[in-house]
Amino acid sequence: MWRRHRGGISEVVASIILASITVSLGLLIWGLVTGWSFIASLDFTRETDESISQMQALLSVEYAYVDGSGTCHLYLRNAGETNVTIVQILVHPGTGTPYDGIPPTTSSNVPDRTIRVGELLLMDVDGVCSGGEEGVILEIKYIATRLLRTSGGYDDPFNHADRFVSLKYLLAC
Amino acid sequence: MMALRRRRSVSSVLGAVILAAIVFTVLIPLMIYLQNTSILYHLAVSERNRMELERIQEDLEVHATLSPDDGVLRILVVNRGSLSVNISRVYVMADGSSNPGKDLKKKITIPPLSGIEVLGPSEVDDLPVVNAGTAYYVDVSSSRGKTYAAPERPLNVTDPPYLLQISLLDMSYGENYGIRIEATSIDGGARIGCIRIEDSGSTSCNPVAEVQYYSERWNENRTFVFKVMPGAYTLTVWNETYTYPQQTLIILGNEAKIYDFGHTPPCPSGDCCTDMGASLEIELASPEVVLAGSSGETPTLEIYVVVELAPDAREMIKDLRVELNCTDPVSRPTMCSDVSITPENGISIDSLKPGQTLALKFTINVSNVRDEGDYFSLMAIITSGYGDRSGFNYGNCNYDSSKASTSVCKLTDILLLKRVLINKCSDIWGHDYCQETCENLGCEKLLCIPWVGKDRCYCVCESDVIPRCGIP
Repeated sequence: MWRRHRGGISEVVASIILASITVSLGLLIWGLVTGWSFIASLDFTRETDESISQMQALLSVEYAYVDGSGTCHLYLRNAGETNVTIVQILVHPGTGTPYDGIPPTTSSNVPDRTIRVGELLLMDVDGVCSGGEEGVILEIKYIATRLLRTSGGYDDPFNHADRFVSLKYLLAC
Repeated sequence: MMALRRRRSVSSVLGAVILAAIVFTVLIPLMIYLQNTSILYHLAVSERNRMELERIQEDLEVHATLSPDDGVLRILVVNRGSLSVNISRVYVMADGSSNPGKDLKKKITIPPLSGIEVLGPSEVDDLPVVNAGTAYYVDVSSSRGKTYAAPERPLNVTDPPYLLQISLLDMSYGENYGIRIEATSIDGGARIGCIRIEDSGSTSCNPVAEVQYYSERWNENRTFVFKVMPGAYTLTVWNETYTYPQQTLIILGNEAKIYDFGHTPPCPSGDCCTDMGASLEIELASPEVVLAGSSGETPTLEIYVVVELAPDAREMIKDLRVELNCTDPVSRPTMCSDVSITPENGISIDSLKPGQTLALKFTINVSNVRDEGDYFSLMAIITSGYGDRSGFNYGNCNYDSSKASTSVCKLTDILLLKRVLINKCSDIWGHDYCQETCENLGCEKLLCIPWVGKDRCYCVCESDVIPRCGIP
């Protein structure tokens, strides 16, 4: 009796309690792991999607010339596999600091500067070659348009500056 | 021990089950998902690499030209690469042009290793008429984003960019040769290209050009240069006896064609002396009569030996030496010792080409001319000379000029008796009119005879104006 009294709970109950604890801890660990893996996969997916978009974005300067008034006419063709948006054209003169050839793109004018796959966009850059230089370098920065898309419209491109693709083009004046 | 093992087995089994559940329901799907995503990424990388590789492998050759039929710009496209190329747009920049972009009327795909594709008004919108004096810059872009510039920059109808050189070798003497170049069609449509004859002075670019040439040398080589636009041409070359088969040329750069009409040997008869002798002529230009002074010496005389090699000569003579020799007359066997010829050893000339005539100047001085006059003979001879092609020594062929004789005359002192009619020989005051008259004439008075009407005054005069010549 003393031995029974000292035993407390039965082996069955003890086993049930231990099993419950084990199951609870197991479910907790399972839940944590599942949550972590879900978040990790989301981040990985987003990163991968952005990288793929960056690789699918391919812009080429099909033709460019400077007219008598110093305006550069750029014919840009989307030769890639995703729509792209021109976010900035920097003009690097022979001497001096680079300046904006066209104002940086904001979320509101993304559609105006978006080139669909295979299509052509003519952009005019004013004041190029005004310093008497023999040539300038145009640095065209663009981004895959789908990276800018939000539920209500478009995000500011400069929030995704790390995904910009840069194309440099030497333009004879 | 058995009881203990039984007590631990429930949670161990459950723990193992839970661990397995985590592995199979979370970690393995996560790994599979990541693996798939990674595959997608690598597929995108591969796709981009493929695109870049295709851009590198894409190779178009673009040329700008025009059609002489309508004067409209044409663009010739050749696919030199291993991939098909879709033309996306054409750019034509001309002086004063504001819209260089030209859209295509239809989709144009250039298959690999294709022939020449002609882009004309039926393929491209608003291709301009090529005007004289206007410069055109032509570019063609592909759907892969590459732009190809036509190397004819700028394209100018008055200055075709390429040279077509037609060389006619070993032409025969005295024959007419002709070259005719005509623009033709590449694809059965309009003719493509135009020609301007270089050095013709004309700036017009024509669909046909013809040149005729009369060869004035044996084995003459001549290159005719035409300035041409890129295009297709037919080339016909002929002489009086033979017409070469017509050739079709696709000109996309400088081109040269050679036609050899067959070599004519330097000595066709086998006897070089006879063959060259028929073409070589030596003439002597010497005075027939010269005067020597009272000292018996002539002034320095210039003698020219004219050596002429006819245009029909088969070869040029190198290191030709011509000497001028004196021949003694029979009447005075030592006459030539008094004839000094300069240069004594003759005159050397580097080469005498077919059709070339040279006049070689010798000088001679004659001394010790006898009072009754002398004469001598001159003859020019070729003492050496080697055939340019045969190497034959023509100095052994006895080529000489005809003998030219020259009379040398010497002026002889003589006394003349002059009769002068005067009014009277002298007057009562002793003035001698006859002597005065003779002195005025440079003579001396001999005598004066009074006569009815006019007196006769006789003067003795000395003169050296009467020459005495040696007659050959």
